[in-house]
Formats: sequence, C-alpha cells, structure tokens
Amino acid sequence: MLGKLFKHEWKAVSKFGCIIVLAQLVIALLGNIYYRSSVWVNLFDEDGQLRNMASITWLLVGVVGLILMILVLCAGIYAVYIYMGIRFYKKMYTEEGYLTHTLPVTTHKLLISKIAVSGIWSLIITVIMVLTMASLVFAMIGSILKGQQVDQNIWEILGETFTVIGTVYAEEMGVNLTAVGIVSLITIIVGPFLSMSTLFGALTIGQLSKKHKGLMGVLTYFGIMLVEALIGMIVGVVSMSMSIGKMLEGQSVGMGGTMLASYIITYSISIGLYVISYYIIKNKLNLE
Amino acid sequence: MNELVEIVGLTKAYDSRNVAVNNITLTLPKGRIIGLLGPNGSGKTTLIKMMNGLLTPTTGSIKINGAYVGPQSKARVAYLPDRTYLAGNQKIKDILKYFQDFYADFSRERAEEMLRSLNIDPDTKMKVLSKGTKEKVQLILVMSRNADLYILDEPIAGVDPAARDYILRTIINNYNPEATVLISTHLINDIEKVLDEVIFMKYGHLLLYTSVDNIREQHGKSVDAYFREVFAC
Repeated sequence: MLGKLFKHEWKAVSKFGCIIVLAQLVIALLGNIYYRSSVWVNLFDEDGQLRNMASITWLLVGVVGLILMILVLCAGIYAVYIYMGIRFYKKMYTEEGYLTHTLPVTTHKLLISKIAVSGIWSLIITVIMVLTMASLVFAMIGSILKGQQVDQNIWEILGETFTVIGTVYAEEMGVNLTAVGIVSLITIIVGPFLSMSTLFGALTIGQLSKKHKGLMGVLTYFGIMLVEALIGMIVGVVSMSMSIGKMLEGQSVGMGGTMLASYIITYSISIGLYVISYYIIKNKLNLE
Repeated sequence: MNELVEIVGLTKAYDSRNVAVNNITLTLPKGRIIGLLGPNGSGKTTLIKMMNGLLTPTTGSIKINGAYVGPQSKARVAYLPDRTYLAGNQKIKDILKYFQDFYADFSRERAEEMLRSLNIDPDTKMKVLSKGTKEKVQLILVMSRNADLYILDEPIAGVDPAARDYILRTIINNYNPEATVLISTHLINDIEKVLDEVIFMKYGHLLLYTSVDNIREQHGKSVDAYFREVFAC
C-alpha cells in the first residue's frame, strides 16, 4: 500500500514540481548565455579597471540581475513548501480528507508517503537551485577572469580558497572541514524530508484548535521555527562564551560540538513532530 | 456469527455541553438494509463518521467484522459521505484507478458500466460536473465495491426526485446481498420501501432499533408516519 500511496502522491504533485524545475532550467540557461557573453569578457581593461561608463552600467545590471535570479530561485523553494503545505492540509483535513482517512492504510504509511514525495521534490528543486546559482556565479566570474587573462581558472581559485578556509577552521575553531562537508551533504539530503515533517507536524497540531485550524497550523509552524532558532542561538552563545577562555589562551575553540548540537536540535524537532503527527491522526482526528 | 457491527458505550462529546452521541450500544447484523433516521442534529453523521474513523470517540468502541476501526475495517466498509470529497482537478478515470488500487473489492467494470448508463464521460474532470452528477459519481464509486458494510450518509438529500429514484435503484441493484447497508436520511418516505430495519436517534441518544415490519404491526403506521409522531415538535 505504501507504494500505491507514493505513486498517486507523486503523480498528483509532479506537474507542479516539473513547472518549478522548468522555470529553474530556463533561468540557468538564460543566465549562462548572458554571463558568458563577450561583453563580460571585455568588461575590464588590462589594468583591471572598468573600461567605460557602459561597462559600469553593464556590471551593475549584471549584479542586480544575478541577485534577482537568485531571489527567484529561492522563491521556488518557498513555493514548494507553500504548495506542499496547502496540499497536505487539503488532503488530510478538509473534505478531501474523507477519502484519505477512509483508505485501508496505516497512519505511518499515509505520513511517510506524503513526507517522502514532498521531500524528494524539495530535494530536487534545492539541488537544481544550488547548481543554477553556482553556474551563474561561475559564468560571471569565469568570463571576467578570462578577460583578465588570469592563468588560473575558477576551480583552482576555489580550491585554494577552501584550503585556506579549511586551515582556519581546523586551527582556530577545531572543526574539520571535511567532516563539516560530509555533515552538510547529509543535511542537504535529509533536510528537505525533516523540513516537510516539521511543516506537516505543525499543520497537524493546528487541528487540535477548535477554530481557524489552518491558521493555527501556520502559526504553530512559525512558533516552532522561532523556538528552534532560539535554542540554536542559546547553544551558540553558551558555546561562544565557553570558547572565549580558550581563544585567549590561544587554543582551538572547538566549534564542532556547537555545529553538531544544532544539527541534533533540528533533527530531534522534526522527528518529534512526526511522532506528534502520528499520535494526533491516530488518536485525536476530528474531521468536521 | 451474524453480527457485523458492534458498538459499545459510544460517546462523542465536543465539550461538556455539546454531546453529539451519547452512550450508544448497538449491534447490527449482516444482510440488512437499515435506515438511520433522526432529525437534523440527532447525531447520525457523527455516529457514521466514528464508524469510518473520521472522528475519534470520546469513550466507547466500534468493531466492524470483529476488527476495531482501522485499515482492516476500512478495507471492508464502503462509505458515501454527505459531501463532495473528490478533488475537482481529478478526472473520473483517475479516481476509478485510485479506487481500483486501494480497494481490493472495487469493480472497475461495474463502475464504468454505471457511468455509461448515465452518459458520464470518464475523461471528465470532477469540477465541471453538476452537484447531482458529482453525487452520482460518488455513489457509483461506493456501490462498485463488494463491501461488507455500505454506509451512505444522506445519499438522496439535495437531488431531484428522478435522481433519488436512480440512486435508490443503484443501491438496491448493486449492493452485495450478504452485506449490510446503513442509510442515514430524514427523507424517510423516499426510502421506506427498501428498508428492513430502522434506527431512530434523538439528541445523540439511541431511541429505537427495530424492524420496519414491527413498526407496521405494532403501531399500524408507516415508518414515515411513526417518525413524525415520535419526533413531533
């Protein structure tokens, strides 16, 4: 039954997901054509100065355009969350819930199928967003470097930059950059599923309210985000205050623990909200 | 064992002053068409929603075919709610596929045959259908299942007399004779002729559960006339 739930959920949301992906790809294509044009290669003269007023205007338009494209790409992610949230609410807690909750399936399967499908789409769109942003920035900087006749390409420069950052992290903050990279990669992969679990959990908690259940769900979500941020901030402040002494003594400050703690907080909240969602649907469901 | 539904001490209280269903104990047998009758606000829909797992009882329990309300019972109950619950952007043929995938007892052939008899195109989206046609599509989906228990909440409310006749014919011609059909309505006159038994509910209480023949023999009245007497304002 989980496979069937997944199949129908995937089919229902794939149209929306494909539209977002298509929009991202159009931005990536147009942006790359624009930033790889010969104008960008010839923007600076041999001394590294902008050639003329037209170059300044071109640069300004290019930078503003880049910012706008990045904002549009980020809006795609928010659109996914809003769409998935509305869809979850409609399918679970409005008239359409009459069909959802009379299917011969367990609550776990219902929740897992919805989190899995929305998480996968969120992951796909996040990955394309990051790659598109990187391709735009690389295209812009790459063109400028090409015009400057710089021997190194952008990958060599990035490699050197990360080596420096890694050294600073390791020596000053006691953080292994490779470990941070691995944890970050895991978070990028698992994060969308955890985020959907949090969102759906908040919307489900809103169902306990007697009135304005949808609104209460949204407010619960922002409340959870606020609490999560506050806990993260407290952990950060405590960690920093404990590190000051070490910094004064010239020792490594050990920020790895702080980063680990913030990941644990995020993971715990999402898993906790899944458990709460399950409990409410199983024991407190009241479709009006 | 002839019992299909066992309800014990069932109560649904939204708060201390609003008790929709009050301590109902009831056993329904197999192979009957039962009318769940009562005025608006008597608790019929609340009872039905608890039987389908859409509302959580405050106290008490419901067993259907020996299983508490859950995936096992839902696999054997065909439920027609009192509202449109299908997404407007779905095509009828996609909904048929959905039912076929989730309900092992769903007959797609039977559903397509009924749609054809009503000239409803399976390629049509739900949102372009009239209210009456949407209700017919929902009824077709429910009656195309070979369930143990059919629960129909106000199936003939809000439709014209011709559509009522069609709906009642569809119910009678398509239900599994081994199964029980529970029909909630306050339009008693229209369905009286198909009922074997009736349940009267008032203010969340079970007032009466008896056979239609019993009412006619003991009170010398039709169910409709007796209902009007019992619930006279």
